[in-house]
Amino acid sequence: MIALGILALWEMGVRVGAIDALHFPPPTTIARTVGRLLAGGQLQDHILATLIRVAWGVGIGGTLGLGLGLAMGRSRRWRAALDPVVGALHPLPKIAILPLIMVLFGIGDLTLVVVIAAGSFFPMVINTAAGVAQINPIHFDIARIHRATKMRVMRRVVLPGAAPSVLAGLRLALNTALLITVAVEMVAARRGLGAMIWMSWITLRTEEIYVALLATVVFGLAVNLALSLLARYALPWQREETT
Amino acid sequence: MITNVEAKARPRPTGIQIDGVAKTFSGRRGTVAALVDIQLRVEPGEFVCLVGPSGCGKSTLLRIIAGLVEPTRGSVRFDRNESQPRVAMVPQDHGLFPWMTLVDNVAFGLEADGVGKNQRRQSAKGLLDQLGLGEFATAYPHELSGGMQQRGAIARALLSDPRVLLMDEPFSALDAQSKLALQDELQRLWGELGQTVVYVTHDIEEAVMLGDRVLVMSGRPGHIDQEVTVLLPRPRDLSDRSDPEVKAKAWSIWKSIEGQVRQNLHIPS
Repeated sequence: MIALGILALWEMGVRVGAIDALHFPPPTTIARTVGRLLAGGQLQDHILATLIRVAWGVGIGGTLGLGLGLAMGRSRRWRAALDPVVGALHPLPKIAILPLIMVLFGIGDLTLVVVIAAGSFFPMVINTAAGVAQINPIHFDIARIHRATKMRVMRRVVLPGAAPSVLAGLRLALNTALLITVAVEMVAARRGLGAMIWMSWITLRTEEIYVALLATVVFGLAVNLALSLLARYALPWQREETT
Repeated sequence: MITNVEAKARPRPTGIQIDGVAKTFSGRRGTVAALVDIQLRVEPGEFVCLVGPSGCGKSTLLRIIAGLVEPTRGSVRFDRNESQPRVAMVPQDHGLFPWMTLVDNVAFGLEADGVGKNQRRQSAKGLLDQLGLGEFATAYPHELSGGMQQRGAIARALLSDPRVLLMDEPFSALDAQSKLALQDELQRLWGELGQTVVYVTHDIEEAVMLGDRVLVMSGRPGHIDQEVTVLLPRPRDLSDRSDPEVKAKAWSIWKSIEGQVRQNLHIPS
């Protein structure tokens, strides 16, 4: 309701000349631009490009993060070895290392995916390790007493026990990945939502910037919604929040 | 009678021989002698209680018997010389896996035996039915009350058909009324099944009510101070709590550890 109100005010503001139409095109113009870009296929093209990069990046970085996180959670040696490395590299802005990665992997999608993977890795490894560490030790005791093998302990205790944290980590990883993707696309890509934002800006097609921003927001919403549904399916034992 | 769907001969209870067991922990604050010179024989089918003030090592001893902790010295051997006898434990905070339903939790004990999922679930459901928990089979642990969770943990321990049942203060987290009801039920179940039981508690009356023998431990370093045999006939009843022998024994045990308990709390003498 509030959103509609704001949109209405915005529209009117432009019509009467109070709001600068160049930098803040009216919602009706933006809507028409969405239609145009959808009809021409450009919007789908950009969204798909971003989607593929995010999927690959989170797929690689997330899987790596999950694996190492499980190792770190279960083994003191792994933790001792990797904790300082993770801690040191984590604060490094992944967007800033783009030029460096480009030297190694050249210009193109591979470089972008590497950077996105790096960004997805850290939330996953940190959350997974924490998730494993918070499992009540009594569960491992019980599993041992019932003569569970290492495989069984992993499948029946570690993974479900860490699952809530892992899913939280996945959510962070996906959101971080989206952020990084759009940012590096602005600098180093010709297709994708970030690229769309950049090109619209330099050609002063402001309404297209808004379309790109809108698409990014919708993308993010869809991802988070999907994760909420996944959580409900994968974590049936989580109690309902009573507010 | 509680039966298992598998037609396996029920293993008979096992006796435990504990010889010269000692345990030292080395931690940040130096070495701590948790247990010294524990010499104990538990007969097959006997119900032995370990009582003592906090820090006397009774839980450590239980974990050593369970095979979770290696003793620094000495050995724990089970009759018929098996290194891995079938042992089951009921911990203080039920220890049920929050991510599994009650029936899957109870069935967990049979997973290592390679029993198929459906058969496991069937066995577990059968046991739950006999215990009156059948309608909660598909509930998650957090949906159950504390007492029911504890009963679930006992069911899980029992389904694996253990020769030795280890219980670590299983009812101490419950309200006093539930505790009484569960003590009664435990006694009844044990009467039918007859496993060897080692039961750790800090409730002296509970120990005297449940056990054939009560071993009083005191700590720093943990050792067995005295042994009290409870001659109360079985089956026992909650009304036996007011039996003069029970009260006298409980009182004398209290008196023997009172000093240490006060010391732990820094109550000036």
